[in-house]
Amino acid sequence: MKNVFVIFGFISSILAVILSITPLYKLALFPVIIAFLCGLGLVFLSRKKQIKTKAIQYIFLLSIIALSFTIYKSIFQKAEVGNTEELEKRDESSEEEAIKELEDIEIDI
Amino acid sequence: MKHLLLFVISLISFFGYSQNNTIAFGEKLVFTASYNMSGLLTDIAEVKMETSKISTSSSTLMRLKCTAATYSNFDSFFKVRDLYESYVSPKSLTPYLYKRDINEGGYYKFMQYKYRRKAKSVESIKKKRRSDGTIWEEKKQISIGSNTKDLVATLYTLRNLDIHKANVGDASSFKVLFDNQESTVVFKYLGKETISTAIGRKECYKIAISLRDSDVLKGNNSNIIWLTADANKVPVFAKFKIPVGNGELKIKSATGLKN
Repeated sequence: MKNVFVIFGFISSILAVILSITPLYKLALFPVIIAFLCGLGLVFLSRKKQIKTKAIQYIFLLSIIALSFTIYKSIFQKAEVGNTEELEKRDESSEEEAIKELEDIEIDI
Repeated sequence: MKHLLLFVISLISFFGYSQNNTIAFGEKLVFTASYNMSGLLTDIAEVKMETSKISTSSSTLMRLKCTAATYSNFDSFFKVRDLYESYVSPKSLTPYLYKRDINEGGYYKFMQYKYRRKAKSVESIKKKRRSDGTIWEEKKQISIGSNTKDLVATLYTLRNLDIHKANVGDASSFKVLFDNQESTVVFKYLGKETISTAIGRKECYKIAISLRDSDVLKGNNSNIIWLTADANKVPVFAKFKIPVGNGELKIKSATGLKN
Protein backbone atom coordinates (compact mmCIF):
# COMPACT_ATOMS: atom_id res chain seq x y z
CA MET A 1 0.00 0.00 0.00
CA LYS A 2 2.83 2.35 0.93
CA ASN A 3 4.58 1.72 -2.42
CA VAL A 4 1.36 2.41 -4.35
CA PHE A 5 0.97 5.80 -2.63
CA VAL A 6 4.66 6.64 -3.20
CA ILE A 7 4.59 5.70 -6.93
CA PHE A 8 1.24 7.42 -7.66
CA GLY A 9 2.23 10.42 -5.56
CA PHE A 10 5.53 10.93 -7.38
CA ILE A 11 4.05 10.39 -10.88
CA SER A 12 1.19 12.81 -10.16
CA SER A 13 3.35 15.51 -8.59
CA ILE A 14 5.94 15.40 -11.42
CA LEU A 15 3.14 15.47 -14.02
CA ALA A 16 1.59 18.44 -12.18
CA VAL A 17 4.88 20.38 -12.32
CA ILE A 18 5.29 19.63 -16.05
CA LEU A 19 1.69 20.66 -16.83
CA SER A 20 1.92 23.80 -14.71
CA ILE A 21 4.69 25.25 -16.89
CA THR A 22 2.84 24.57 -20.19
CA PRO A 23 -0.09 26.64 -21.57
CA LEU A 24 -2.34 23.83 -20.32
CA TYR A 25 -1.47 24.78 -16.74
CA LYS A 26 -5.08 24.56 -15.55
CA LEU A 27 -4.96 20.81 -16.13
CA ALA A 28 -2.24 20.57 -13.47
CA LEU A 29 -4.99 20.83 -10.82
CA PHE A 30 -6.01 17.18 -11.33
CA PRO A 31 -2.56 15.61 -10.69
CA VAL A 32 -2.04 18.10 -7.80
CA ILE A 33 -5.21 16.76 -6.12
CA ILE A 34 -4.10 13.14 -6.69
CA ALA A 35 -0.60 13.89 -5.34
CA PHE A 36 -2.04 15.58 -2.23
CA LEU A 37 -4.33 12.61 -1.58
CA CYS A 38 -1.40 10.21 -1.97
CA GLY A 39 0.67 12.43 0.37
CA LEU A 40 -2.13 12.40 2.96
CA GLY A 41 -2.41 8.62 2.60
CA LEU A 42 1.31 8.31 3.31
CA VAL A 43 1.01 10.60 6.36
CA PHE A 44 -1.81 8.37 7.65
CA LEU A 45 0.31 5.23 7.07
CA SER A 46 3.40 6.78 8.69
CA ARG A 47 1.41 7.39 11.88
CA LYS A 48 0.25 3.78 11.98
CA LYS A 49 3.59 2.24 11.09
CA GLN A 50 6.98 3.78 11.52
CA ILE A 51 7.98 4.54 7.90
CA LYS A 52 10.37 7.09 6.38
CA THR A 53 8.77 10.46 5.66
CA LYS A 54 11.21 11.63 2.96
CA ALA A 55 8.86 10.63 0.11
CA ILE A 56 5.98 12.54 1.71
CA GLN A 57 8.04 15.71 1.83
CA TYR A 58 9.04 15.46 -1.84
CA ILE A 59 5.45 14.77 -2.99
CA PHE A 60 4.08 17.75 -1.03
CA LEU A 61 6.95 20.00 -2.19
CA LEU A 62 6.39 19.20 -5.89
CA SER A 63 2.59 19.59 -5.49
CA ILE A 64 3.02 23.00 -3.84
CA ILE A 65 5.40 24.14 -6.62
CA ALA A 66 2.87 23.04 -9.29
CA LEU A 67 -0.02 24.67 -7.43
CA SER A 68 1.95 27.91 -7.00
CA PHE A 69 2.73 28.05 -10.74
CA THR A 70 -0.93 27.39 -11.60
CA ILE A 71 -2.26 30.06 -9.22
CA TYR A 72 0.37 32.61 -10.32
CA LYS A 73 -0.42 32.03 -14.02
CA SER A 74 -4.19 32.17 -13.42
CA ILE A 75 -3.88 35.55 -11.70
CA PHE A 76 -1.08 37.32 -13.57
CA GLN A 77 -1.00 35.83 -17.06
CA LYS A 78 -3.09 37.91 -19.45
CA ALA A 79 -4.47 36.40 -22.64
CA GLU A 80 -2.85 38.43 -25.42
CA VAL A 81 -2.62 37.69 -29.09
CA GLY A 82 0.95 37.18 -30.29
CA ASN A 83 2.56 38.55 -33.41
CA THR A 84 -0.06 38.87 -36.16
CA GLU A 85 2.09 40.86 -38.61
CA GLU A 86 2.27 37.96 -41.06
CA LEU A 87 -1.52 37.46 -40.86
CA GLU A 88 -2.08 41.19 -41.50
CA LYS A 89 0.18 41.03 -44.56
CA ARG A 90 -1.72 37.99 -45.87
CA ASP A 91 -4.96 39.85 -45.21
CA GLU A 92 -3.87 42.91 -47.20
CA SER A 93 -2.46 40.96 -50.15
CA SER A 94 -5.53 38.70 -50.18
CA GLU A 95 -7.83 41.73 -50.43
CA GLU A 96 -5.79 43.18 -53.32
CA GLU A 97 -5.85 39.84 -55.15
CA ALA A 98 -9.57 39.45 -54.47
CA ILE A 99 -10.36 42.78 -56.17
CA LYS A 100 -8.54 41.52 -59.29
CA GLU A 101 -10.35 38.16 -59.10
CA LEU A 102 -13.73 39.86 -58.70
CA GLU A 103 -13.23 41.78 -61.96
CA ASP A 104 -13.34 38.42 -63.71
CA ILE A 105 -16.61 37.35 -62.05
CA GLU A 106 -20.06 38.26 -63.31
CA ILE A 107 -21.75 40.03 -60.40
CA ASP A 108 -25.49 40.48 -60.40
CA ILE A 109 -26.35 42.56 -57.34
CA MET B 1 -43.46 10.23 -48.55
CA LYS B 2 -46.12 12.65 -47.33
CA HIS B 3 -44.24 13.18 -44.10
CA LEU B 4 -41.00 13.74 -45.98
CA LEU B 5 -42.61 16.39 -48.19
CA LEU B 6 -44.14 18.11 -45.18
CA PHE B 7 -40.75 18.12 -43.48
CA VAL B 8 -39.02 19.63 -46.53
CA ILE B 9 -41.69 22.32 -46.92
CA SER B 10 -41.55 23.14 -43.21
CA LEU B 11 -37.77 23.48 -43.36
CA ILE B 12 -37.99 26.01 -46.14
CA SER B 13 -40.85 28.03 -44.71
CA PHE B 14 -40.16 28.29 -40.98
CA PHE B 15 -37.60 31.09 -41.11
CA GLY B 16 -38.34 33.94 -43.48
CA TYR B 17 -35.42 35.29 -45.48
CA SER B 18 -35.20 38.96 -46.34
CA GLN B 19 -32.82 41.55 -47.80
CA ASN B 20 -29.86 42.46 -45.63
CA ASN B 21 -31.03 44.82 -42.90
CA THR B 22 -28.75 43.48 -40.18
CA ILE B 23 -25.14 43.73 -41.28
CA ALA B 24 -23.42 47.06 -41.91
CA PHE B 25 -20.10 47.96 -43.49
CA GLY B 26 -17.44 48.50 -40.81
CA GLU B 27 -18.87 46.11 -38.25
CA LYS B 28 -16.33 44.47 -35.96
CA LEU B 29 -17.02 41.64 -33.53
CA VAL B 30 -14.25 40.25 -31.32
CA PHE B 31 -14.56 36.89 -29.55
CA THR B 32 -12.54 34.74 -27.20
CA ALA B 33 -12.39 31.06 -28.08
CA SER B 34 -12.01 28.66 -25.16
CA TYR B 35 -11.43 24.93 -25.18
CA ASN B 36 -12.98 22.78 -22.49
CA MET B 37 -10.51 20.32 -21.03
CA SER B 38 -12.00 18.04 -18.37
CA GLY B 39 -14.37 20.80 -17.26
CA LEU B 40 -11.67 23.50 -17.15
CA LEU B 41 -12.05 26.23 -19.76
CA THR B 42 -8.80 27.55 -21.22
CA ASP B 43 -8.75 30.64 -23.44
CA ILE B 44 -6.87 29.65 -26.56
CA ALA B 45 -7.55 32.16 -29.32
CA GLU B 46 -9.06 35.43 -30.40
CA VAL B 47 -11.60 35.34 -33.22
CA LYS B 48 -12.58 38.46 -35.14
CA MET B 49 -15.47 38.96 -37.55
CA GLU B 50 -15.24 42.12 -39.62
CA THR B 51 -17.06 43.63 -42.57
CA SER B 52 -15.81 46.24 -45.02
CA LYS B 53 -16.67 47.80 -48.37
CA ILE B 54 -14.91 46.58 -51.51
CA SER B 55 -15.26 48.36 -54.83
CA THR B 56 -14.55 46.84 -58.21
CA SER B 57 -14.87 48.66 -61.54
CA SER B 58 -18.51 47.56 -61.87
CA SER B 59 -19.88 46.96 -58.39
CA THR B 60 -19.61 47.44 -54.66
CA LEU B 61 -19.37 44.34 -52.51
CA MET B 62 -19.19 43.55 -48.82
CA ARG B 63 -16.11 41.77 -47.55
CA LEU B 64 -16.86 39.41 -44.66
CA LYS B 65 -13.62 38.57 -42.93
CA CYS B 66 -13.07 36.13 -40.08
CA THR B 67 -9.66 35.74 -38.49
CA ALA B 68 -8.47 33.45 -35.72
CA ALA B 69 -5.18 33.86 -33.86
CA THR B 70 -4.01 31.88 -30.84
CA TYR B 71 -2.88 33.71 -27.71
CA SER B 72 0.88 34.20 -27.30
CA ASN B 73 1.24 31.48 -24.62
CA PHE B 74 -0.17 28.94 -27.09
CA ASP B 75 1.91 30.12 -30.07
CA SER B 76 4.91 27.94 -29.18
CA PHE B 77 2.55 25.04 -28.49
CA PHE B 78 0.13 25.20 -31.45
CA LYS B 79 0.17 28.43 -33.46
CA VAL B 80 -2.98 29.25 -35.41
CA ARG B 81 -3.30 32.11 -37.88
CA ASP B 82 -6.46 31.58 -39.95
CA LEU B 83 -8.07 33.90 -42.45
CA TYR B 84 -11.54 33.30 -43.91
CA GLU B 85 -13.07 35.73 -46.39
CA SER B 86 -16.25 35.95 -48.38
CA TYR B 87 -17.08 38.69 -50.85
CA VAL B 88 -20.83 39.06 -50.93
CA SER B 89 -23.59 41.24 -52.30
CA PRO B 90 -24.34 43.87 -49.62
CA LYS B 91 -28.08 43.53 -50.33
CA SER B 92 -28.66 39.77 -50.51
CA LEU B 93 -25.42 38.42 -48.94
CA THR B 94 -24.95 36.18 -52.01
CA PRO B 95 -21.24 35.23 -52.17
CA TYR B 96 -19.14 35.71 -55.32
CA LEU B 97 -15.69 34.89 -54.02
CA TYR B 98 -14.56 32.87 -51.02
CA LYS B 99 -11.07 32.44 -49.66
CA ARG B 100 -9.78 30.32 -46.82
CA ASP B 101 -6.12 30.66 -45.87
CA ILE B 102 -5.28 28.61 -42.81
CA ASN B 103 -2.02 28.09 -40.97
CA GLU B 104 -2.47 25.78 -37.99
CA GLY B 105 0.56 24.38 -36.17
CA GLY B 106 2.60 24.24 -39.38
CA TYR B 107 -0.29 22.86 -41.45
CA TYR B 108 -1.06 25.18 -44.37
CA LYS B 109 -4.10 25.08 -46.62
CA PHE B 110 -5.63 27.54 -49.07
CA MET B 111 -9.07 27.24 -50.67
CA GLN B 112 -10.67 29.62 -53.12
CA TYR B 113 -14.13 29.45 -54.67
CA LYS B 114 -15.06 31.66 -57.59
CA TYR B 115 -18.82 31.49 -57.93
CA ARG B 116 -20.30 31.36 -61.44
CA ARG B 117 -23.87 32.00 -60.38
CA LYS B 118 -25.45 31.75 -63.87
CA ALA B 119 -23.69 28.46 -64.64
CA LYS B 120 -24.45 27.19 -61.09
CA SER B 121 -20.85 26.20 -60.63
CA VAL B 122 -17.76 27.07 -58.65
CA GLU B 123 -14.16 27.25 -59.79
CA SER B 124 -12.22 25.85 -56.90
CA ILE B 125 -8.51 26.18 -56.19
CA LYS B 126 -6.96 24.13 -53.39
CA LYS B 127 -3.36 24.58 -52.23
CA LYS B 128 -1.57 22.55 -49.58
CA ARG B 129 1.96 22.49 -48.27
CA ARG B 130 3.86 19.23 -48.70
CA SER B 131 6.18 17.93 -45.97
CA ASP B 132 9.20 19.16 -47.97
CA GLY B 133 7.82 22.71 -47.93
CA THR B 134 6.67 22.88 -51.56
CA ILE B 135 3.07 23.75 -52.40
CA TRP B 136 0.80 21.59 -54.55
CA GLU B 137 -2.27 22.98 -56.27
CA GLU B 138 -5.52 21.41 -57.43
CA LYS B 139 -8.12 23.13 -59.62
CA LYS B 140 -11.68 21.85 -59.90
CA GLN B 141 -15.03 22.81 -61.38
CA ILE B 142 -17.87 21.97 -58.98
CA SER B 143 -21.60 22.06 -59.70
CA ILE B 144 -23.61 23.73 -56.94
CA GLY B 145 -27.22 24.61 -56.20
CA SER B 146 -28.53 28.11 -56.85
CA ASN B 147 -28.56 28.96 -53.11
CA THR B 148 -25.31 27.31 -52.08
CA LYS B 149 -23.05 29.54 -50.01
CA ASP B 150 -19.76 29.23 -48.21
CA LEU B 151 -19.35 28.91 -44.45
CA VAL B 152 -18.72 32.61 -43.75
CA ALA B 153 -21.64 33.87 -45.86
CA THR B 154 -23.94 31.27 -44.22
CA LEU B 155 -22.97 32.50 -40.76
CA TYR B 156 -23.91 36.06 -41.71
CA THR B 157 -27.07 34.85 -43.48
CA LEU B 158 -28.18 33.27 -40.20
CA ARG B 159 -28.13 36.73 -38.63
CA ASN B 160 -30.29 38.05 -41.43
CA LEU B 161 -33.11 35.55 -40.93
CA ASP B 162 -36.46 36.70 -39.53
CA ILE B 163 -36.04 34.71 -36.34
CA HIS B 164 -38.71 36.73 -34.54
CA LYS B 165 -41.30 35.06 -36.80
CA ALA B 166 -40.14 31.55 -35.91
CA ASN B 167 -41.72 29.25 -33.33
CA VAL B 168 -39.74 27.08 -30.92
CA GLY B 169 -38.62 23.92 -32.74
CA ASP B 170 -38.73 25.47 -36.21
CA ALA B 171 -35.78 24.66 -38.45
CA SER B 172 -34.17 26.02 -41.58
CA SER B 173 -31.60 24.36 -43.81
CA PHE B 174 -28.87 25.80 -46.00
CA LYS B 175 -26.52 24.30 -48.56
CA VAL B 176 -22.92 25.02 -47.63
CA LEU B 177 -19.81 24.37 -49.72
CA PHE B 178 -16.86 23.32 -47.57
CA ASP B 179 -13.70 21.51 -48.72
CA ASN B 180 -15.25 21.13 -52.21
CA GLN B 181 -18.21 19.24 -50.69
CA GLU B 182 -21.77 20.51 -50.61
CA SER B 183 -23.35 19.83 -47.20
CA THR B 184 -26.61 20.78 -45.53
CA VAL B 185 -26.46 22.91 -42.40
CA VAL B 186 -29.61 22.92 -40.28
CA PHE B 187 -30.47 25.78 -37.91
CA LYS B 188 -33.10 24.95 -35.28
CA TYR B 189 -34.71 27.63 -33.13
CA LEU B 190 -34.73 26.53 -29.47
CA GLY B 191 -36.32 29.63 -27.92
CA LYS B 192 -35.27 32.77 -26.10
CA GLU B 193 -32.83 33.00 -23.19
CA THR B 194 -31.33 35.95 -21.30
CA ILE B 195 -27.59 35.64 -20.73
CA SER B 196 -24.82 37.84 -19.32
CA THR B 197 -22.13 38.82 -21.80
CA ALA B 198 -19.20 41.25 -22.00
CA ILE B 199 -21.49 43.70 -23.81
CA GLY B 200 -24.20 43.50 -21.16
CA ARG B 201 -27.10 41.28 -20.19
CA LYS B 202 -28.89 40.35 -23.39
CA GLU B 203 -32.06 38.56 -24.36
CA CYS B 204 -31.00 36.09 -27.04
CA TYR B 205 -32.34 33.73 -29.65
CA LYS B 206 -30.96 30.27 -28.94
CA ILE B 207 -30.25 28.37 -32.15
CA ALA B 208 -28.90 24.84 -32.58
CA ILE B 209 -26.61 24.19 -35.54
CA SER B 210 -26.02 20.77 -37.03
CA LEU B 211 -24.44 19.41 -40.16
CA ARG B 212 -26.49 16.69 -41.81
CA ASP B 213 -24.59 13.44 -42.57
CA SER B 214 -21.35 14.64 -41.02
CA ASP B 215 -19.27 14.07 -37.91
CA VAL B 216 -17.81 17.61 -37.88
CA LEU B 217 -20.58 19.17 -35.79
CA LYS B 218 -21.63 16.21 -33.68
CA GLY B 219 -24.55 15.59 -31.38
CA ASN B 220 -28.16 16.66 -31.11
CA ASN B 221 -28.51 20.30 -30.00
CA SER B 222 -24.90 20.26 -28.78
CA ASN B 223 -23.74 23.10 -31.04
CA ILE B 224 -25.67 26.17 -29.98
CA ILE B 225 -25.35 29.83 -30.87
CA TRP B 226 -26.95 32.72 -28.98
CA LEU B 227 -27.91 35.74 -31.13
CA THR B 228 -29.14 38.93 -29.48
CA ALA B 229 -32.91 39.23 -29.86
CA ASP B 230 -32.68 42.69 -31.41
CA ALA B 231 -32.30 44.08 -34.93
CA ASN B 232 -28.53 43.40 -34.99
CA LYS B 233 -28.73 39.71 -34.02
CA VAL B 234 -25.14 39.79 -32.76
CA PRO B 235 -23.71 36.35 -31.99
CA VAL B 236 -22.69 36.77 -28.34
CA PHE B 237 -22.06 33.21 -27.25
CA ALA B 238 -21.60 29.82 -28.88
CA LYS B 239 -21.05 26.32 -27.57
CA PHE B 240 -19.71 23.73 -29.95
CA LYS B 241 -18.89 20.06 -29.83
CA ILE B 242 -16.33 18.64 -32.22
CA PRO B 243 -14.86 15.11 -32.46
CA VAL B 244 -11.90 16.15 -30.24
CA GLY B 245 -13.85 17.82 -27.43
CA ASN B 246 -15.94 20.94 -26.94
CA GLY B 247 -15.44 24.64 -26.63
CA GLU B 248 -17.01 28.05 -26.28
CA LEU B 249 -16.94 31.33 -28.13
CA LYS B 250 -17.67 34.45 -26.04
CA ILE B 251 -18.01 37.98 -27.29
CA LYS B 252 -15.46 40.55 -26.10
CA SER B 253 -16.59 43.62 -28.03
CA ALA B 254 -19.01 44.66 -30.77
CA THR B 255 -18.59 47.89 -32.74
CA GLY B 256 -20.01 49.43 -35.92
CA LEU B 257 -23.39 47.73 -35.58
CA LYS B 258 -26.09 48.71 -38.06
CA ASN B 259 -28.99 49.31 -35.66
